Amino acid sequence: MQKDFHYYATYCAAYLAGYTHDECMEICYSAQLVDHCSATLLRKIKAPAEAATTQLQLELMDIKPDIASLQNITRIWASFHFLPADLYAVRKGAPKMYHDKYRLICNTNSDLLVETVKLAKDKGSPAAGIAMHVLADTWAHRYFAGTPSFVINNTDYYFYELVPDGEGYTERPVKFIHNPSAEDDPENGVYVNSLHQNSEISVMNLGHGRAGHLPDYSYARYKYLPAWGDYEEIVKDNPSDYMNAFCQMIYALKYLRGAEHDFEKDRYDTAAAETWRERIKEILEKRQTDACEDWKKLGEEMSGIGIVDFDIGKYQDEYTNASDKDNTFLGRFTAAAIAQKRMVTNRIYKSGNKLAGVSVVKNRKKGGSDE
Amino acid sequence: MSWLQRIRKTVGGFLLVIAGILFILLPEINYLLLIAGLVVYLLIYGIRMMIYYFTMARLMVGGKSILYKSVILLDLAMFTATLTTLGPVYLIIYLVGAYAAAGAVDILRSFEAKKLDAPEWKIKFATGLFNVIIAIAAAVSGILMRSTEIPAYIYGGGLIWSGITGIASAFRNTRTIYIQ
Repeated sequence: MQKDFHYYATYCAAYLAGYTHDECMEICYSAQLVDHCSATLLRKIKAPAEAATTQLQLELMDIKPDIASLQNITRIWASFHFLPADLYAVRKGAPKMYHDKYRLICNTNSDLLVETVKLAKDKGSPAAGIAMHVLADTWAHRYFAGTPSFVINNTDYYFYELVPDGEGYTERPVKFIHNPSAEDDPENGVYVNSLHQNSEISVMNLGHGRAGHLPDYSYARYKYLPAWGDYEEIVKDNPSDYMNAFCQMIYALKYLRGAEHDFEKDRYDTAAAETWRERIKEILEKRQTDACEDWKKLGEEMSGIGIVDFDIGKYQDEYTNASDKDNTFLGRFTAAAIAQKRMVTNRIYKSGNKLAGVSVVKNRKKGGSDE
Repeated sequence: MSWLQRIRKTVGGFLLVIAGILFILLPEINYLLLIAGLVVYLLIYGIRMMIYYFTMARLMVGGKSILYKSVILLDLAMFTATLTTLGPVYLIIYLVGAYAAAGAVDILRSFEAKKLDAPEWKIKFATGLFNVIIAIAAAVSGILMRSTEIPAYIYGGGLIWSGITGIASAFRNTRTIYIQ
């Protein structure tokens, strides 16, 4: 997902969940910051590197394919962008080294999602925003794993976009190109993806790189053969998935606000979104690679207040000049990010999988992470 | 490109340069040395790929291609090993053939890269073309001059050039798709 959903749509969901405009701004800012909080940024503001929630192009480019670097990649991408669905999934006849990768495949409504949302309870807006980023990405990034893996994340020539055609859909083969400076061309079905590399641990095989940005576009419907799927076709319906993500965010945010007593899997607050349903559907289905303007307009209509564009430097001075950094916005964001990363790493490690590293429970702090 | 990949490319480039110099300076033993090196490389690569197939790739869509590649590599290693019993002329033909084939593959890959708008197609094409020209020059001069030394010099020069381009490519900037 991109800024249109993580920032503006998250604002809308927070508003429908009953938060004030200012609270909505903090939640959506935090949700979007997950895509910017790299080790480079953290070094700049002198924040703990452990709080990194993403990796930049240059950071990925210089990754050494050693165990520690691969564990760092997995910790970041599995914790924030590709939340594993079933850490104990079994594929018949597969050895452990395959299972370790297979079990990191992201999908919706997992136990880890419930833990993610509950971990953010009573931790304030930054933690809520992080949880909403993770939740939303489970819908966009489902079927891919947040670890470099050729045998899990590769795609092949069998990749078709389902383009709306009156009553039905026309199947159009997707043409993938590997020029990173080129733009996606939805009208002609030409999309940029990562290079084919049959190295298991190449960063080209991280997440949905081999499917390009198609999972990030709300209008996209496509079918393909996932590398792990035993030749069973997957049909991905992003408009439907994104609508579910939106309604699940409303429900999760109501839980975080205290309006719902529990957060359960597979529950969506469709009623809260009902008034705006057609408008949302229209935005989701519009063939555009950036829906920021449409979502922004919708959010402003909902609250009647202007939504300020995302500014990465917004809270940096507050953080760098503060004597008590823990009580700044970025201080609370980094604390929540570290808690989320530790929780996911711990669950992966406890399942017998060391791809995200070794996690040991040291102590149990009140209201904090126990890893 | 990762640091390890850069180091591997750099070390590989230096080894090619050394092999090229040896090829020119030690005409008596150079063919055998090169063949031995090639056999070891193909064996290790083929075995690694076969292990990867049986542990991981057999479970993936299209994974059989990994098995086919590993079998072809092992076959090639065994075939290469048998060439040590033949005279230097046959070894030259084989090496020149392998060199030309590698050049042809580079050219084909450059066409593929061009089709995919990848900016590195030009360097791939130039490298492939150079390799093919070197191979043809080595073969023609060997046949016309009835000498194993001239193709050895040309071939050695080609190896040095490949090594240098390999080292240069290790330091080239590469870009990665940003996944969020």
